[in-house]
Amino acid sequence: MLSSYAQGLIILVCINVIAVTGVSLLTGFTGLFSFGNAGFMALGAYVSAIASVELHAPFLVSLVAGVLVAAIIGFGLGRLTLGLRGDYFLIATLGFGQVVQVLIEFFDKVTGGARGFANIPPKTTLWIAVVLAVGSVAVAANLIHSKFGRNFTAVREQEVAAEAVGIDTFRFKQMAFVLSAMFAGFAGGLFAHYYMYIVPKMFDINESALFTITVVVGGLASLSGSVISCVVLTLLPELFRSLASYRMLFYGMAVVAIILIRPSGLMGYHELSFGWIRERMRAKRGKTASKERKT
Amino acid sequence: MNSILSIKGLGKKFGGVCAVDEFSLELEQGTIHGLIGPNGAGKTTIFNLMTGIYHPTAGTMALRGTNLVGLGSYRIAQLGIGRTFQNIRLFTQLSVIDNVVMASGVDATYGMVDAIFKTRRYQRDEAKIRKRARELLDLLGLGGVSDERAGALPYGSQRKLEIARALAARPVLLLLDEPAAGMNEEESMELVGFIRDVRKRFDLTVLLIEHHMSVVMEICDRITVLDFGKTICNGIPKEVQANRSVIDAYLGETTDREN
Repeated sequence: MLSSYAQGLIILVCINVIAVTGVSLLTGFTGLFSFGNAGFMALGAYVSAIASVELHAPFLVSLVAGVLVAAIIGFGLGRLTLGLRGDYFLIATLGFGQVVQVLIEFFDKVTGGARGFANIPPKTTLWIAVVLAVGSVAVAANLIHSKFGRNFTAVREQEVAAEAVGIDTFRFKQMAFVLSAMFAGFAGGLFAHYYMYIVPKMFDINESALFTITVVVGGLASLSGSVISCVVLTLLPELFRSLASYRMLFYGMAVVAIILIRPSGLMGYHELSFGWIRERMRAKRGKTASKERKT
Repeated sequence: MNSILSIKGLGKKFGGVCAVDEFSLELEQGTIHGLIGPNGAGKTTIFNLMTGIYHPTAGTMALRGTNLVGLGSYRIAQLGIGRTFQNIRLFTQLSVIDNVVMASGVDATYGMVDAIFKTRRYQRDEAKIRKRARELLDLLGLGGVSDERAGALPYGSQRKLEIARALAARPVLLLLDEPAAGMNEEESMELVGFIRDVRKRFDLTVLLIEHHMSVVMEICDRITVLDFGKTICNGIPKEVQANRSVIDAYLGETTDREN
């Protein structure tokens, strides 16, 4: 059996994968950058925690409640801000992330404020986390391979052309944003029921930035790239843990190195598949063969 | 006469500049109509007004009786107006076939649950969309490059791909913005045959902007000539060629240069 440290790491990876999957849909496929997704994660975490502790709701009901609240708030926020140009939208989501934190601290009677919210039942087990993470990625992958994913991609690639072939770009931006909020809320609920104790600071802008960095490093337009990069970037700080205060430095250098070496991210526009690996190997072989011919 | 599109008194001002003034047009079902005029005459602006990219400051537009003024671009496309762009706007990073598949939203009737569980309905629709995309690419002679990156295609093929993509959305009226730009005489004549062919096959009405006079005179049933946002002539090709003000404004220059 795995040590509890290893189990904890795997659960953390799974939770991050779920949140990052949402950001991948929004940023990687629809081309909208958000620095507010940790805000949705906070909503999911607090709503599900309060439902579990105060209302004694079953785990599944608490999780769904967290997802629904994130979805509703995401819908409202999207309605107001998705008409803005990309960079202004980014700033609006950044503001949203801050507002969520402030509000949680302000309503300390319900949320415990800055002191945190404790005694959440530990329901997120290793298997639940793994199954839900795999399920979330599968749902996202199937969506990407449908007209929904195509319409997201059309928005990212060329909005004018997307509209010209009948794609309601606002509607699909809205859809991607709500989906990313739902994935974040879901991840938040699992997070709360794993750590048993949550404080607003856990869901600050660093967390949002980390999700976005993960997707960019993994390669825009590649869900498998996002997942791989999420696993790597979640485990990387842990590997450097023995170096204590230097670990974030190494982490930062690793991110910069990846961006410099592969500007389009680990996977670029590709998905990890057997077909893709075979193609790469054939291309490599072709290259070496032509080199040999030259010499 | 069976009118498919009716535009009356259309106007667009950008600040104090009048880009389009009192533009009126009736398109008969199944015809090919040319829109010509010197650079800056307002031709592309009219396309942009018709497709909801700009909103007119005056006038009315209706497609088969449905008002178009104030509608979003996507809505106008859904109602049946397809277009290509003067400055090509493909999804350059995607494959050729994906560009066409992207535009097949009308053929995808399934919902999100179907997509998530890959139901039979999803599979049926997707198979149909792929098949139709391949047919459209074959029709345009792009079948052999369907897996290439769209941005890597030569210019002429990119223009063709834009037409294929527009057709995938099943339009009733197709707006072509300089389809023969950058093509030589031979390619242009091939394009003429092709436009005639698609019009017949898909029961289309075509409105096109074009500078190649040989193309325009060969293919158009009627022609409207614009100059400085105003309509200076409207008629069959012979009438237009004979019209004094057209020769002054436009054709005259060309003839001078050619001689």
